[in-house]
Amino acid sequence: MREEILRMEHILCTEGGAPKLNYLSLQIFRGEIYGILCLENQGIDKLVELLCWNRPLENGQVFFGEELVNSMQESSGRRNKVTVIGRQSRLIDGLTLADNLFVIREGFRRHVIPDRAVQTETANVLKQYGIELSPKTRVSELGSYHRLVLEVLKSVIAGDRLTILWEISDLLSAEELPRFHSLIRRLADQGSTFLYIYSHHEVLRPVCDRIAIFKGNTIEKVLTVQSTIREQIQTVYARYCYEKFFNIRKDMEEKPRGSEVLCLQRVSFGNIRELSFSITKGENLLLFDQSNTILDELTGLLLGREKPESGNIYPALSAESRGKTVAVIQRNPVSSTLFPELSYLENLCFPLAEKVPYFWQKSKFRRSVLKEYREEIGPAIEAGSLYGLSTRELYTLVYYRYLISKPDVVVCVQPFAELDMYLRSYVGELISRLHRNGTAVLVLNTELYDTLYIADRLIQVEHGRIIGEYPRERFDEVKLAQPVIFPD
Amino acid sequence: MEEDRKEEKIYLYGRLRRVLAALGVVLFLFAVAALFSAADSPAFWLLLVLLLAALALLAGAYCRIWKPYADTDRKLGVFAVRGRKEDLEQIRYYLRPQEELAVERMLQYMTTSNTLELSKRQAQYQALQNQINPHFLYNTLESIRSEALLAGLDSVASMCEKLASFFRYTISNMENLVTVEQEIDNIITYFYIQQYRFGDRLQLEIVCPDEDREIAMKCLIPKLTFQPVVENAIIHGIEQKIGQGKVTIHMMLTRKRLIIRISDDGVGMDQETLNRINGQMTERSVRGKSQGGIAIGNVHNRIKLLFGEEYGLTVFSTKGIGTDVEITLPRTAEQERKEIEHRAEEMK
Repeated sequence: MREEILRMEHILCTEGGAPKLNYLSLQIFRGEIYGILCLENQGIDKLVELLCWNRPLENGQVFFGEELVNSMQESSGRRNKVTVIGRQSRLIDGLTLADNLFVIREGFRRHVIPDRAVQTETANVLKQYGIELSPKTRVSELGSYHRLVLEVLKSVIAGDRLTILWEISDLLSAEELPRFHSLIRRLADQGSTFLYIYSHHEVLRPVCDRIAIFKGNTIEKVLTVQSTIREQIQTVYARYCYEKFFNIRKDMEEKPRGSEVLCLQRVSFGNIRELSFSITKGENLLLFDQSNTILDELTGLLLGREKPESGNIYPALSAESRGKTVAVIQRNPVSSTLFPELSYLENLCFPLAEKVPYFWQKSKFRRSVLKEYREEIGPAIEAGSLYGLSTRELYTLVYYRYLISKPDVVVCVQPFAELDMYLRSYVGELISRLHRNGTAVLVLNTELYDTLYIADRLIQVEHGRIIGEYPRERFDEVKLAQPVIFPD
Repeated sequence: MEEDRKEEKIYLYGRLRRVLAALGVVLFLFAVAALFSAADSPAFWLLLVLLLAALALLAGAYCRIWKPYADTDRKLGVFAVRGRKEDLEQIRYYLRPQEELAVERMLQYMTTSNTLELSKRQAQYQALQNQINPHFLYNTLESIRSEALLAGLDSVASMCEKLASFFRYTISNMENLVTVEQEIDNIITYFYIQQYRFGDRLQLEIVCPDEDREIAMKCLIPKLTFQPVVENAIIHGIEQKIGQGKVTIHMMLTRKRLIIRISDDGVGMDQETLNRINGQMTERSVRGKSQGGIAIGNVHNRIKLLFGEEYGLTVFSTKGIGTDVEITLPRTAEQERKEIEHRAEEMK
């Protein structure tokens, strides 16, 4: 007999007339790791909200532990015993591991904290799960992996019925992810229950018991993880996405090496150790940071904000040269690099304005851009502000900025982070478009799901040093040799 | 004429609010003006007391009249959206007795309409049963079977036996509840018959964890729960497919529920159809007949009528992969049969 932890039946929620959840049903049992594969992201935030809070429903019922907690007829508005572990950490940086685990939790009512007992208990928990940290370590000193582990343990200790892992995989490196999965598998075997939400099946497949396909604001099908699941997802559910990626790869022609547009020679900075590589005009280079230690530092160097401790970068980069020679598209660019109060066209022309003198004073430049790109971008180009535009339209804006301004190199930092499967393939097309335009593209990533399709060359970096370099012809060979690191 | 009638609909509530608000403002200004003009005269205190009394009356009217009626107004609004009897039954405050009578009459009509619909359905079902005289049917099938055996056609004889068994279960014996084991046996019979048509193309698998099997098989479920779902799986799923098809019935128990998932690897359905079907599941309707058998919507409604809103059907499907129908039922045992059947009778 299985113990049911959560059941949602025919949940209907709308906002502004559009469905956020469209007759969604799901059921999770104790000790299960239930995956949700987001082919589309719309509605997931509402699902998570309803799991945490008993908000009003237009239809359906929610059961926790086989007891009705929310329904169309009655919504208490109360919070459920659910923890969400996502991008935003709920740990208190200034406190220790022990305090975060045992003191800062619901139900801790003591006025005098028994410090020694708390430390001992924390040490026991850490030892039980093979975590080599002192209970007195401050959370601010921890990396992403240990933070996530701490949040998971905190949820388990607090006795939460369900722990939701929401788009956390790109916070972890390719080495850390299997360790994290191993931990949650162990906790699930001991009776904890997890809902793992992510937008790539290769993350979910190794660890989940079942995977639900989320599309069209509902769960379309629930698949039991078995040997054929990868093929099923690639050929049926995500077929549209993979066809696009296959077409991108097919269209990538062999080009003779152009002139070098960016070169790093024995560069050292922070965790970066004597990094040397170059990228030529029209090339798409993928730099895979396997241990997730250098991305931020390398981005700082490429933005011109930092100077290397040793080595050289050609051409020399500074804040002034940014955007002209090297443009950087950071992770989740729609929330950090766009100006929502300005019009679409104004946002589109920003990088171009840095290259063309008196750009803003002469409206003919903007009219020319509008005329040339109206057909490609669509009616969104005439939007007076960015409010109300879809995520796809905003990503079009981000990449078209550089299609128009044509810098020598465009650096894309984790370009697929936080995107659903459909948007991943679309962004892949945009990157491929840059590449076909003759712009060199440097993709910095900590995982390889789908990025290999758009790369000409791969550089594998571990702990700040290059450990391998592979041209496109050798990608299959490398995949076979290291299947854990190099999926599909 | 109809357009004239449409123009005549006026919402007095808005007018009433505006008039009362205007009256309130005018009276308040009058009172204040009167107070100021009588500032030095003995009548000042009398006017002040009257003003305070008027304010108290207004406050009382708000709490005792306006707020309760606003509650009624809100409930009528909810009823207008949802159309559920329960929303009308919750109304406590009425302006006049005539309003209460009107609401009661509406409730009566709604109850009668549901009952009529259920009765009609029941009558249709019984008429169907009466048209097919079971004894005549079984006797005829037995005769065919005998002839087939004499002619050495064992397969035809076997088919007749299974068909008789199937009809005996389906149209005789008007119990609401049967055990899971009986339903499974009926499905196996049904599959045997269908395999004469489909041959090896059609396969059936029944899966249940060993520790749950004994209890699961004895659970009570509405009669003809599985058959319409399996029929849909074959007709709309596997028949449309090239190659072999498999129907899997997976059963599982939780602390309070019996969960049955009937999966097929047929052609599946597109998202629009899936949304429509799941949307229909939420409407309590006894309509929704499919071409053959009793539609799965009917199965869903019967489960809800017998066991409550917590139980029913959910459909998952992907075009090209297949369809899963998940049925949730309470874990009921024989001793609860009378209670459930009594509740079913009350519904009629």
